[in-house]
Amino acid sequence: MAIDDVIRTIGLSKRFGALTALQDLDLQVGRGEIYGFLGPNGAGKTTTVLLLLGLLRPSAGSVYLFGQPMRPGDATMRRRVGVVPEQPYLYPHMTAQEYLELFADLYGVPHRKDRIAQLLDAVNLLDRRHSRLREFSRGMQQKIGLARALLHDPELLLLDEPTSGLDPSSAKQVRDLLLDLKRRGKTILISSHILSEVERTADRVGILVKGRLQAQDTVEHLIQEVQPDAVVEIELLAVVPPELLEQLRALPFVRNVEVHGSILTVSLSPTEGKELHARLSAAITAGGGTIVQMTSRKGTLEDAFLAITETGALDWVPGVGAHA
Amino acid sequence: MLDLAVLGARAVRRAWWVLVRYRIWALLHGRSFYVVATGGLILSAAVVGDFISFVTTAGLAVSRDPLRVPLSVLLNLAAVYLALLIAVGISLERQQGTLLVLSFGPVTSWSYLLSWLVAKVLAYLVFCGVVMVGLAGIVAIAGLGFSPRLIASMLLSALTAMAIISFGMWVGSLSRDTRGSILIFLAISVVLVVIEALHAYLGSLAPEQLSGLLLPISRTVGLLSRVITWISPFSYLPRGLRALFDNDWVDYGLASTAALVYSSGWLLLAKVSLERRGVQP
Repeated sequence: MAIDDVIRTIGLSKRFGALTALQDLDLQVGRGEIYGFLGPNGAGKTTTVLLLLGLLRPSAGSVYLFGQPMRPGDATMRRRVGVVPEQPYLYPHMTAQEYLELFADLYGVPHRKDRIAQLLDAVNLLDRRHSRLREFSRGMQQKIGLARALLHDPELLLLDEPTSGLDPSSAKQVRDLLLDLKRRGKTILISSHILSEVERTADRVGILVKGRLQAQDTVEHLIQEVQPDAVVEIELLAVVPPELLEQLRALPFVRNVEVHGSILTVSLSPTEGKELHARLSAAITAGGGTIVQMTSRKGTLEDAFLAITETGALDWVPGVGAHA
Repeated sequence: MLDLAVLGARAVRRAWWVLVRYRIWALLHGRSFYVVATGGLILSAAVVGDFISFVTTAGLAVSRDPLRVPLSVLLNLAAVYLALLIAVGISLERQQGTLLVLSFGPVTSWSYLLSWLVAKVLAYLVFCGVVMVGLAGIVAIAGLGFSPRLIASMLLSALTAMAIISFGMWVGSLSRDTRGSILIFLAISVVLVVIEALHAYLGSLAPEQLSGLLLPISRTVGLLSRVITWISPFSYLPRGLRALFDNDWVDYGLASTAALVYSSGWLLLAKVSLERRGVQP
């Protein structure tokens, strides 16, 4: 186990009767890392979080937090962790100030009034601190949940859908907050369906499918594994003639060509040298085609996620269990 | 690292007391506590009024302690109300997910349950204070005596009232939602009351009437009733109050010790139940 591992699980499994919720999870998250923990609904993400916190007893395997074994019910260790669940789960009859004061007292936060004001300001809710939580929108409740999780300045943050229900400006605010926490050396495990958010913040991602970790790598590597070719979309002035199509398919750096009317979608092999776009454009012009527009399409984390969760063809994904 | 460990351990140790303060605050900020206290006072005023009208009509006093009955009624009512409140409160916290959020932090199942129990016993004492003030007013108007012994009795009855409250705590830990906890609480209470009523009815019959099938039923109910004396959460408070009103300190000592042991049993069962059921909604 690396000395700077904040989270380490070895062969972690959880069964509920006949249902296997999690199987042989080997997870390793280093200090100061943002780790995107992805998976479809029911993949076992929440079960993993509860196991990490010692709120569920594992059927097999072990959990280490901050290099120490996490025993079920170990509340002392949990004091060093901040958690934002998928639903905010607040006390609706309390005001934001009262709610945060309760948790500041629970965690023994020094100078609690200042700390609460600082966090409410960070999530843009300082002027609503005396409003009842039942009057808050879902997004505002989510931000109060985040403020609660940060009250005691935890070393590790476990976030489940932290930006769901937030408007774009609030989502950016939360993203900036997380990146700031990362700069301050905090470790963050973030589970989200908003993959563009994860793509922008996470250093590495792990994809869980039916309780098994199917892929774990940096975002760039994962996208490259799923979509290794550079894809170029070309709009021609006229419908693509069949002979041009044949000429393009014969080119050594072209992997695949698809045609829809006057639109060509060409997959290029990046291993075949540089300036492929220029060589492709020259070949089209030489074949009698007139290019109107040419755009490169980059693979996204969503492409990778869908490929891994929907195709199930995962043997080619490297890095499972690897610590980048 | 040591500082963090010390901070964590300190937070775990004091979590129960932080929650106790919050629960008392929540109770006093709610309406139901004052509704029950007012209802109880109206009920006791009616009982005292009935007693006075009997004395006026008959021309004699039949009780040297006329507040004994209204006080017993009020305190039993308070204990049952608090037991129901703790049952609903725990299941509501699980249902709303706030129990899960508390468990993310330095709150253990022990500190969580202990906070409920202590808060409700303290609420019982607050209720006693409200009752005391109300009854003092009633007896002042009625011209009856209000002895310091009654005040002491009220406060000391908290130990035996804990038996009912801890039972409510176990019911709350058992159920996933508030409706379930109310139903379980009522179902168990009804079974206990029916057995006691049946026992009283069969005991009132002459031996020659207990023939045929009634005889084994009577024996079984008698046996059940004896068992219930020890296992029913509702039997400890009346026993403690009776001992206090009769100045029987030995019996009070026995009743409160038994109630403490009994409540500890419910606390243990509630912990096991909470951990088996899990904290997630």
